Amino acid sequence: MARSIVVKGVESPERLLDETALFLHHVVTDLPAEKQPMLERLHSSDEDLMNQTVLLVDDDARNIFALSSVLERRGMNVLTATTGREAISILEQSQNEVSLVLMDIMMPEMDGYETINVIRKNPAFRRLPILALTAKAMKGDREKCLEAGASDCLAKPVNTEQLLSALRMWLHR
Amino acid sequence: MASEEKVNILMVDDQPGKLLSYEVILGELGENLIRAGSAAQALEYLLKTEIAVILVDVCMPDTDGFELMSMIREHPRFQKTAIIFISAVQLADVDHLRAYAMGAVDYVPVTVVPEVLRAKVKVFVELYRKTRKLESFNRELERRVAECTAALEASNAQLMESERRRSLALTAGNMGSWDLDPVGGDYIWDEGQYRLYGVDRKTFVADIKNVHNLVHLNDREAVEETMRRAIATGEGGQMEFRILRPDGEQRWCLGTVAVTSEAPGQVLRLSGCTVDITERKLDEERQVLLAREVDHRAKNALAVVQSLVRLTRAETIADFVQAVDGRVRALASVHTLLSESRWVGASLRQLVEDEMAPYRTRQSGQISIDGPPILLLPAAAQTFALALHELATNAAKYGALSINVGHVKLKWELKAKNLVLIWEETGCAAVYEPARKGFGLTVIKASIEGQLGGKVTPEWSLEGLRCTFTIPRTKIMRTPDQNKRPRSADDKFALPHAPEEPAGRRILLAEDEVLVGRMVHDMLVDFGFNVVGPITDLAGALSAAENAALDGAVLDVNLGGELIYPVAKVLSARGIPFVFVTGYDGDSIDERYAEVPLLRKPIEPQLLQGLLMARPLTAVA
Repeated sequence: MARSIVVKGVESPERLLDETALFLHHVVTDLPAEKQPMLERLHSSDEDLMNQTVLLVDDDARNIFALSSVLERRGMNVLTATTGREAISILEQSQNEVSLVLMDIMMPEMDGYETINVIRKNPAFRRLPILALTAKAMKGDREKCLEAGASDCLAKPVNTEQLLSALRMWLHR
Repeated sequence: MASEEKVNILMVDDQPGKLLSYEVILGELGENLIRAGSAAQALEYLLKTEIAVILVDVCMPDTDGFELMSMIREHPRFQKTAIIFISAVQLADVDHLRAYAMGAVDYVPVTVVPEVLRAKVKVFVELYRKTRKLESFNRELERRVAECTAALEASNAQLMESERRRSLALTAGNMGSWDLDPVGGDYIWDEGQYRLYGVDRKTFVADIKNVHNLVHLNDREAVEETMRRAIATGEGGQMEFRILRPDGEQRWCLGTVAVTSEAPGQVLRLSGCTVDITERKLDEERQVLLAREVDHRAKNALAVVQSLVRLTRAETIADFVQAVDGRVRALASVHTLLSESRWVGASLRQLVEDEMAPYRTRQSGQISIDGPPILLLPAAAQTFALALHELATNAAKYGALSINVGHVKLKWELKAKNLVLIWEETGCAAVYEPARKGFGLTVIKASIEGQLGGKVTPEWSLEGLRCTFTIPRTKIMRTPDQNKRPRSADDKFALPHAPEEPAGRRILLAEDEVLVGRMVHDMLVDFGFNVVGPITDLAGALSAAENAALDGAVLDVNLGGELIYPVAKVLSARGIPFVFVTGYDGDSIDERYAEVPLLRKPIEPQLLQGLLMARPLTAVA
């Protein structure tokens, strides 16, 4: 398990709990009763998400539509791209407007790894949170994502609560 | 509607042929038609393009119409987007449709009747347009409301700032402002108002009664009247009034009241401001006093000059001119000294130096001056200057200063009670006691003895004149108890020319200015009266008024700094008539004696004669 732990700044016990729960793929309702309010407090507010701009990159319009549906309902601005190349051009034109990227790995032509690689080459995006979405449950897949430059990795099909927790964590100011 | 922007209509069907037929049917609506061959493609369009109406075939291979609709409806952006189903299945699915009926949903059965489809699409397009318009109106409205709110907030902030500044300005200018509800009767005071009235905001209740009680008793009625008139006329008003602070201090205020009314006679609110004008009032009073004082001094000076002229005796006109000139000069130089000290007093040494200056030029060393510094009171300084002038003039004419070998030694010293000044002429073998004790010595004696209560001792020897003045310190110098004059019997007065056995009517003359007294005395004698006086101080005049046999009196209103009224009272009580003489204006006369004839200095002899002769003097009741 140790190989999967990512070291980063933890600002509060709530965040640590949230992150571990997320990492261990725990569902909140399975957590001990006294821990649940901690996370609820953290999740009850969409403050961290409101008015933030997310770029969704997926070749399947239905996925994009479903995700944008979830995110817009929480007050986020959603930009969409169906190819890696389109994603890169949107990022370059957006002048730091985008605060997070949700990147599907399996895409025709230019896949997620490659796209993340190109994005990271631009110094302006070195610290931009990029969450990789991967359908592969294969061993070593997560490492490959992180190696390519992704900040974190989520499994498809995406659990809405997990997705939102990850977003809150990465977008927390 | 050509002017309006075209809207987008999205048509979703997996069969290109059907899409084509919809396009033909809807073409004449003149809107943009977008074709999507699959659900995925439709979703992609939806995310990137504004869609007014969606046309969906229920049966499609990958995602069917219902599934697509549920996805669309879940998206917050498309909850109200109009969707029209084209379905071969009729009744069975109506319930299904109802589940999504929150937005605009309709359905068209196959086979499609072109008019029906066109009409339904058209209705939704119109709905879309109107909604957009409404939204844009709303946005505009919200923008305007926000603008108004911002403007209101800004003007509010400005108002508060200006109120704060106004309050500061009022406080700095010793001002206060107030509001009064004429119905409730409570004042609303600002900080300055509390400060001005000298009361504490925490403890003082500013209602009409309490404020009224702080107004000076004599001004209350006038203040109320001003308020009443302000309310009655609706024009406001202004007045000066006094307030008495709780600590007893009196302040002068200028109050202004303004009236706010909706209709004539219907007062909504009174408001106003108060300015503390105490300093200004004091200044005004000081100015009036000063003006009167200047007036008095000028008239007195003229009176003195007038008597100098009348009393000067000379053999020739040239001598007369010279004598008058010298005496006026002596007065002028002491006047300069006094005015330099702002009438506090004059230095005796300076006075002596000034007076002797003309004679020093002949030969230095002929005059020696020695004595401690002394500051003379203004009246004493004038007397001294004249006396010295007479001594110096005499010396220059007949004494030590008329010959080169002569010498004048002038020295003074302060004894326990007196100032002793010795004028000693030496080296003049041929100086005799002047045969005619003319004006010179008369003036000296009258001044020093009559006015200053001193003693003049002239001695003539072979060496020359030696003259000693012995004058009480209290008469010539400022002492702590200078204001309290002793009324002792020792305070005797001189009656230089009073006859032993009065033949005619006896007139009491009270006048502190020696020369004026001499002049009036001479006038009265000329008119045939016997004169008691001139008496130069109040105690002497009182004593004479009480004890002497009198037929009338001429009284200087201001006798040596004291008012003559006690003497007037005694005379009135004894039924002895009198006239007043004054250097001041008439309004300074006590109103009890308003009926008493009043002569102004300089005195016109005919007027005085007329008053005393033309009608019999009658006593004032």
